[in-house]
Amino acid sequence: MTSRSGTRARAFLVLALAIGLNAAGNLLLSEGMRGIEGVAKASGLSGLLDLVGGAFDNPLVLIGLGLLVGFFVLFLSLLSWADVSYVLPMVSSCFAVNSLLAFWLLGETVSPLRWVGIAVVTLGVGLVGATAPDGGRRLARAGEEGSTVKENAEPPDARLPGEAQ
Amino acid sequence: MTFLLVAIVVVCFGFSDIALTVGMRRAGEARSFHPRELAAMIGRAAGSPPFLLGLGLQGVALAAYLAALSMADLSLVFPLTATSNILTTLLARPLLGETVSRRRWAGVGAVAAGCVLISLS
Repeated sequence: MTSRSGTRARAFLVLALAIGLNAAGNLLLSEGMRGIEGVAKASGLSGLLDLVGGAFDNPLVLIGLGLLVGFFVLFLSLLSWADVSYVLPMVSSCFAVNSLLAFWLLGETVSPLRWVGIAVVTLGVGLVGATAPDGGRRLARAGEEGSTVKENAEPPDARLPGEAQ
Repeated sequence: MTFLLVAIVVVCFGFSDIALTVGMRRAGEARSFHPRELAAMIGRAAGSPPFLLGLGLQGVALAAYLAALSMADLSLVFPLTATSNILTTLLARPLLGETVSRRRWAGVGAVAAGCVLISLS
């Protein structure tokens, strides 16, 4: 099935998995780094190297890094077929997701301004998510093949020639 | 100096996303997320010059980001780097042939503005 809803569902699924990995990876990294001895007194290049060495001995940090690598691989797989102008803003929503998780799981306080920021990011994700993940490129291809595509004609939600019903 | 570093971060992140996208498209579509297919995808991409250029630019951007953080607060540096999404979206049309609708542009702007608000607080 290559219908529009199928494409969008696949994009949402991979994005959800990627954003989940990113959030879990960052939570583990921050927990792991806080647990390392001597973080506060690390200074200078040797202090920094000790800190990095300590981080690589910490299982939480290693698992966190592994999850972030997994996130990056999923991000790359999205870039292989979806528009970068779709993938990037959707992935950027992980800043809002991480703030929310820090609020729910770690009990960090969220200021009113940050709540507004989370709401604005959510609005932006809604707008980008309403466009077709690979619509821009399919339209561009259609344009090269000779059909006329008007610029900025809100194209991604128009039905394209040759698309499965 | 901080602003020069931030400019390097924005430009390197912006172009690295474009280069990574070119590399991934040449490597072929990977629509499944089965580990075996993802590993094969990385294998196909790993040797391609645009992919390696993209990784290199990510490295430069990250180094400049850390250098900027050592000079200025996160609440100043991060909002400025969040604008790299806007640069990437600007470049996506001429360099990748993507058509960015008004709705998508509005969303890109809202996400960047929201990230700025999150980091300011």
